[in-house]
Amino acid sequence: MSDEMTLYLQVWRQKDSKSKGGFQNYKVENVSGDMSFLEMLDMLNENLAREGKDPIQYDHDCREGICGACSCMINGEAHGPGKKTTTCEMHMRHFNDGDAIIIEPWRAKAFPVLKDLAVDRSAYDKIIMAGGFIEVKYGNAPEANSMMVGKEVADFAMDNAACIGCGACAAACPNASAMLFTAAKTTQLSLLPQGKVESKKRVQSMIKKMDELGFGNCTNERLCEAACPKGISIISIARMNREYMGTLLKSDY
Amino acid sequence: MSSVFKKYIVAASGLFLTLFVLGHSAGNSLMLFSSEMFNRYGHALITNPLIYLIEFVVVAIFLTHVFFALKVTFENWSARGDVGYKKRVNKDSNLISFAASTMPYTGAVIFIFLVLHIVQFKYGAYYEITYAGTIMRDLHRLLLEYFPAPLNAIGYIIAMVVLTFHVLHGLWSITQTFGVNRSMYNKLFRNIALGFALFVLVIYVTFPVWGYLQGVK
Ligand code: FES
Repeated sequence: MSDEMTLYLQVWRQKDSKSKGGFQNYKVENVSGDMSFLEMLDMLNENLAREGKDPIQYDHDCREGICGACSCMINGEAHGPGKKTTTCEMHMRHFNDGDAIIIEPWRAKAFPVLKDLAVDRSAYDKIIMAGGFIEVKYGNAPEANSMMVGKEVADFAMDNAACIGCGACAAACPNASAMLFTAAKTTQLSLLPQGKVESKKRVQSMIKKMDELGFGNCTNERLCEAACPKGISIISIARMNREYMGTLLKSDY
Repeated sequence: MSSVFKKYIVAASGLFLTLFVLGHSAGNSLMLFSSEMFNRYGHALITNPLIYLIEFVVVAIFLTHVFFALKVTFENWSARGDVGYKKRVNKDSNLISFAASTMPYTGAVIFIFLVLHIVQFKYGAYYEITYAGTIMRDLHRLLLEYFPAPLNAIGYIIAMVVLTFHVLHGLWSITQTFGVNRSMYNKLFRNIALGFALFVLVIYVTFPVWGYLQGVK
């Protein structure tokens, strides 16, 4: 039995950020289950190019799940049906011969569509620019054990540092809220000694920026967590909520 | 005001209203035991001089909850942008996520129910009864007129099912919003919310069922 599939795609096509856009139907044949989702799109694009049509624009870079460039809402799920996988890592074996697949860009006011499936995610960069860094110079890595960090704390900071900023959280959130992203980016720094120093300023200005950019308000629906390819948990949001409350009550001195 | 601060307000007022729901159920439960106990309790409540202050505080907190919940909801609707998804599925669907996604709608139903509830009971038919020389309102008689009508009883039960879902998400959500939630407690908090919501459902459904059966007898 050959594992070649024929798929019926409905892809969002939009010429540029100002055009209206709409769905286009495509039939892709000879799709192997071992192909990644992006390879399947590549194959379609080659066919389109051969026919002299405009290929589908989509974001990608590393194709190994670490850069966060790839996106797409695939059949209503951010990064498709795989659990904790990015679109580039998702294999076509998740689908069956004859399946219809709807492919849409991330939808959020703060993520305007640039072309087809590519959206402008610089809003996430702006949140980082508002405080997702450490200003103090710490020099080289300190002597081992000179700065004690609990194992659980270090692990949790690392879990949050796994965020690749792909935008799936805001895309999957019914409110298009960027809370999981902002929570991950504040948590990874605030938990560790080097980041703790500026934690108050950081959490306040990053939340402020997130609101300004037009992301929605988090209503604890947990869909971000389910969509996150890196498995970042809403517990990080709870932690940021707690930290933010602390910053409102605590004085600097 | 930041989005997180708005959450604090909705959560804090929601916590207060949840406690109100609990307190109200305790008072209501008296109807099951004796009409005199129930009427005397009501009398004690409305003759207390502090009642106006308490009513004012409850209404103010309720309206705060509604106002901020509406504000958040409208902002969230517009945050998706001009074009919505053609298809969107919940990767993680269960009872609590259903409750979460329907909060604005369950909230709206509860609002309508509350208006009717106050009109029908607080400003409903006024009967009087005398216990040991004191004339007081016979609210118990009104109950026994109200619940035996099947539509009233069914409407009340539906509203209480809706309230159960609202409270279910609300209560768990509070632990998240106030940052009490931890990985190791998450399950526990969800079970507590589930247990509490079930408790609310059972106790509040008891009233119309009991009232209906009183009428049938
Ligand atoms: S292309 Fe880099 S994460 Fe998918």
